[in-house]
Amino acid sequence: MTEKLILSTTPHIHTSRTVRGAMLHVVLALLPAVFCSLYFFGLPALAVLCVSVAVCVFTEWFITRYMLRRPSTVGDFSAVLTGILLALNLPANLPLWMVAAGAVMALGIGKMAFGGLGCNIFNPALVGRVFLLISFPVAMTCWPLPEAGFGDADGATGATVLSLVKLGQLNPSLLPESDMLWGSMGGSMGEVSALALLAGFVYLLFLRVIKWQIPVAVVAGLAIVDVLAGYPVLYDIFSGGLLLGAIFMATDYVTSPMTRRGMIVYGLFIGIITAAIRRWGAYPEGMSFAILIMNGFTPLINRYMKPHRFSPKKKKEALA
Amino acid sequence: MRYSFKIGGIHPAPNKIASRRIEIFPLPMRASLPLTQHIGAPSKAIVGKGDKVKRGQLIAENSSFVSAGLHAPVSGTVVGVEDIVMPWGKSSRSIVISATEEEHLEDSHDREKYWCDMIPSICDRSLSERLTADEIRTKILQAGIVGLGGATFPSHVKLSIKPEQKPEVLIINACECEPYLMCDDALMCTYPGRIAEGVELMMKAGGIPRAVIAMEDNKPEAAAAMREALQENKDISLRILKTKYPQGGEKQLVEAVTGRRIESGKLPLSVGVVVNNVATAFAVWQAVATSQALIERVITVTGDIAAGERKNYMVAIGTPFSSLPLTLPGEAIAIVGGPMMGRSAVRLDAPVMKGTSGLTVLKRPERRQPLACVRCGACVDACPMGLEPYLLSTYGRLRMWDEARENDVFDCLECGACSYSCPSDRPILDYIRVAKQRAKL
Repeated sequence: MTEKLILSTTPHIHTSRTVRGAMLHVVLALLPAVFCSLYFFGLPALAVLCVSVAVCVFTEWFITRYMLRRPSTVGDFSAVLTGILLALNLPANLPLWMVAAGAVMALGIGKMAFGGLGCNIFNPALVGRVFLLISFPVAMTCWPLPEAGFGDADGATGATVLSLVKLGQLNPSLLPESDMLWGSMGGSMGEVSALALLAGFVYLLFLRVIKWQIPVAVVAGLAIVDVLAGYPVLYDIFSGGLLLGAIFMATDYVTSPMTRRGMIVYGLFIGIITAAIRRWGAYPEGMSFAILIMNGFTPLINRYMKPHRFSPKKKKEALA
Repeated sequence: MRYSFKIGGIHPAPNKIASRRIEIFPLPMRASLPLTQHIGAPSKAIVGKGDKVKRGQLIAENSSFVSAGLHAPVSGTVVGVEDIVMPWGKSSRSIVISATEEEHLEDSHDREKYWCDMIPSICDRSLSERLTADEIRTKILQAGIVGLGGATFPSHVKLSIKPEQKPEVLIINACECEPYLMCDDALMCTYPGRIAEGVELMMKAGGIPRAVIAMEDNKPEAAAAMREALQENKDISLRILKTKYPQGGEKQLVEAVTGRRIESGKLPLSVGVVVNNVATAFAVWQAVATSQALIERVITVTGDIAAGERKNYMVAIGTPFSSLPLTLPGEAIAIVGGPMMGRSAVRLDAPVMKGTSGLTVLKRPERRQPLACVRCGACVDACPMGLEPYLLSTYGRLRMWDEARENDVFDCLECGACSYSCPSDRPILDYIRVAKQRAKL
């Protein structure tokens, strides 16, 4: 036996799971929602999607290549995912230069400024969206009405259900629930079809890419406030970006807590804050803000929500 | 309903691909016996250069209570008491015995007869009824038996239990949760009756009223064999657990079987449990019933080698790994033990020791570069001790020993579940090991 032996440290075997694989699965899980948005909003939606993804990937590549001078990390598909998520959070008729500006903001400030994948505190796609919402409030709240059949949108626009309700022009209990499930209501590209989003959720749960705790806790948090405030719960769950946010944005690995208990706390508060903004805030929709606020609390949650330990509970740990 | 432990755990591919038959491997012409093959004080050599020794003769004695004796695995002449290099490159003081052709033939003949006579049978309780606890313990001490699962804690110490410590149950660890390894599986399939008798002897020695043999549900043949051997026995039961790594960890196993949780830093006895490996039970039976000291054991030779070479061998302690018939697949990792916790070897001329459960040869893996931590929480989910491996590993990297200590770094049993499950291929456990080392100082 004169062959070369290689020294390695334990464990000598590893899981076949990779970050790239996880990102790809999330992208796949988003395909039904992407398909729905193309079906309802037609070509403009495709343009928004393409610009968003292309600019996100380019921004990351440019920054790693020319500013950080490191090997490019676009191969991990996280920039593609951010691009898709950002697009799904935008109205389909948003001018494309705005989409591009949002994408540069999402990747450049939301992610790369912190040091790239794994280091960012806030969800990059939401950073991009909120940047656009604050900078271009009119364009960002002028929603094209969905029209089945991949057609070119004819320019008919309207407010979302949530804003109509907020302005007192619509009674939520009169809304047909089937419309919300299938997606024939105005809104962002990815908000329209709850069924498509739920299909993605089942897929991700089945492959154990995400855990159930965050999405379920978000919905529970929202439902608690709704019940207390006497609002129709189902309407609130299926409207706006709640499901998209709960399933795909709040579960972002980097910006959510590490333990299951922490995830429940995090999710509950996202739900509660969202409901509070929807009921009593100035904006009709609060999902993006709620997630970004709780992103900021994630380190604190990680600090106090520890997994179950074998050591006896210590008396008041010193706050270092 | 089959149970497992609650916190963490992973499911690596079991790869139990070796043959279940135990092949008696020829005695070596030259055997090296390190004086440190167990936890505790090293054995003290009582033979010197030029001494003649017989197979089974005591050649090094206990130097304190927590220590174990060492016996000659072959007859021959002591060549010297010298430093030999271990598989991982460190040297260790060892007794080296060389046999002549004649001695080798005679030993081999005796050994063949010994194993042929050992017909598997159902459990015969008369032996444990005839002897007192003290007598059994003395026999175990004299045979130099240590825990054969890998921890190598001297067995006579483990079974010296005071009645006021109230031992309730003896758990026989037959999980063999390490992927690839099958030596316990093979032993249970071959000598189930003898193992059961060994368990009876251990119960008597420790004054423990009942015993549970715990194994994972991936060993149906061994389970069937043990069930048959235990037919008429009411004090020993068989428990099949849902397969999950690291079920063979002491704290995990106790929780899976009894539901009791052992606090960190405490022994299983604190919840009335004693844990011993199934191969140790067989060695105890050998020592008491046949007066053979611990001079051979079963090891699994497996991994990415030819199917015909993947076998379980009964080998003499002190046999060099290089004499085992196997062809390395080019550049390879040779692991003494299993792929999760076994140590990778740099040389194979070192000897099989008491705690060696196998040799796993793996093809050189495709090297994947560690990427940034994406904080996915896979390591937190996998840790069977409820730790936060990502955090401890960061503390290790940033030399924050106090913080590591506060976050229970010493609870880590180095099972490797964190590094295994990391999708970014980060060397989590390596940094935790650094933290464990340095946080002590």
